[in-house]
Amino acid sequence: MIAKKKDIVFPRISPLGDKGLLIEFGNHFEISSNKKALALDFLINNSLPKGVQETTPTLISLMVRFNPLEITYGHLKEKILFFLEKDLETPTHLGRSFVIPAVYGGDDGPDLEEISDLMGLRSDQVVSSHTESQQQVMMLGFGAGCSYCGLLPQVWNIPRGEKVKPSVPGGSLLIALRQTVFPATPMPTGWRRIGTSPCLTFNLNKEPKFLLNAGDSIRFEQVSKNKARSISDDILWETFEK
Amino acid sequence: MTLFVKKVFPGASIQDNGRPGLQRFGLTAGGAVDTLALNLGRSLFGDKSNTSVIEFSGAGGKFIVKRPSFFASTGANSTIKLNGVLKLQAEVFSASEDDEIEVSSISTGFYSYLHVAGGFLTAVHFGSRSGNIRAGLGTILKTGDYLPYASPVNVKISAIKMRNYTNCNKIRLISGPQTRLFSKKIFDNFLKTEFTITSSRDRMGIRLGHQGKKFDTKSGLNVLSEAIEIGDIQIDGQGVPTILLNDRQPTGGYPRIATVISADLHKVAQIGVNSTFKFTLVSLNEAIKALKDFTDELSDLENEVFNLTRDPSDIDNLLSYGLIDGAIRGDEYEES
Repeated sequence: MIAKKKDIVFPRISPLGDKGLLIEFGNHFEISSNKKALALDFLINNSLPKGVQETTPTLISLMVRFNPLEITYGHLKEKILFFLEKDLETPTHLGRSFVIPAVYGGDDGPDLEEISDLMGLRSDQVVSSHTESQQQVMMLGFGAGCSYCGLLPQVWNIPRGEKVKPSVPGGSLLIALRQTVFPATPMPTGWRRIGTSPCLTFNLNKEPKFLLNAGDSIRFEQVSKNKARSISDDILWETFEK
Repeated sequence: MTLFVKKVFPGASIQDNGRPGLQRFGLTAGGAVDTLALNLGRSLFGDKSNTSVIEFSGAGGKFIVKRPSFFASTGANSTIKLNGVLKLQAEVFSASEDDEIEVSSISTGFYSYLHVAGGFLTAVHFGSRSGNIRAGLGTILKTGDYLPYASPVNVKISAIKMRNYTNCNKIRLISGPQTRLFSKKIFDNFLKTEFTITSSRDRMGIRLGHQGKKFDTKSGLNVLSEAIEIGDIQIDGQGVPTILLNDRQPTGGYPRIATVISADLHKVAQIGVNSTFKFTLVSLNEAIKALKDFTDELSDLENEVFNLTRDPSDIDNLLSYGLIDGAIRGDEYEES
């Protein structure tokens, strides 16, 4: 099929401000686009061109921030085109894996019943489906240490809630669009909350201070409210050290 | 010892160069909004390192000096007094124990800065003392706080020429990846529109007001969360533009119509509430040329610093001296 003049060819590279460059892998969400964004993120950081300061992967794009007085936009674009010729479909590196405890339902997950109704499942089935799903950290964003994880099975493709909650605590498990948003600080949200982890993945007293990075894998594990009281952030960082 | 915060209005924080490099973890760099003011102050004290300052937004505060040191103010046009006696901006002055420093009446501009020799020594997170409310990092000033600062070393009573950049009415921008989500007609209209800075502004962003049509997008409300750059101008669901600044969210799903160029970020951030301005579209090359000029200006500041022959803080009847030409801009007293 011949592309129409106005059709955009992906990946598309464009300037984002005078110190940024954005590589978009599509214009709607597909998990393959996220995998490509994360693969490119890895390749760039693995052989960081001079003048590149940081990269920020998101669901279907990657932002590269650079000093335009050290490397020109055109020169950086050439380097990125070179990376894009590589196979971005096959993962070149494996992220780390974490099992994260969480309390589901009750005060910790006030929207569990509503989600169960929307999914047409019993709440225990919803919890099982969630805890059985291996999820990938697709990006971090919105707030410090807030990870967007997925994808959950198709049955989790439910919209955002209509009401915005002014604040949910860090550690909340927030659900919409086959994703779990897992914030590390309090935040407002329109997403539905099915549970809360006693662990925060952003801790100033730990190294690294941000536990999760895009590309890591996580699975949630149900714990009782009682057990959660005895769990601290330490258990996640202990896993990390192994 | 320390600087005692006798009274401070909300929005004051400790700031330095911020925390670049952490946007992938959901943390934007933060740092002083007006990098020119930050560097004017650093040049006065010969600071090459990442020293921190107090940043005031829209209103100032009163402080009691608990150990003799040297101070200076830069940024928005404000009144600075030592024990009730007027001090000039961009001039180093000495203060003794129990002296009171007052920063007030921010007139032209919005962000004002109080520098101390060697910088403040408040809490460091990720190599920076910058206060970030949302992430709970660094220091946000509260009345009753004690702010530790460095011992003054080799301080000269010096001054630098203040610049007039806090009431710009032209701000340059470049188009971005999401500009195409707006029709040409809407984008042209955006460039013709006179905007007002509203009072809905902070270190995260500035909400703009304007007369006339809203800036509707064709398909923009379906944008997936993408990294937000400093200076991005997002158009929300109501068609209202917001310029996103240092403490912006790291990612967002509202379409961005364009991005303010780096060299104009401090200028747009300094425009006062209810002041008006227009945007001018420039090319990426022009933006980078402007950035180079601005970078050169910052690195040349140290050469512009000159020593004052006498310590003005020792001169009780300062205003009777013929200092009006040379050391200061010249219009400070017309406003007070």
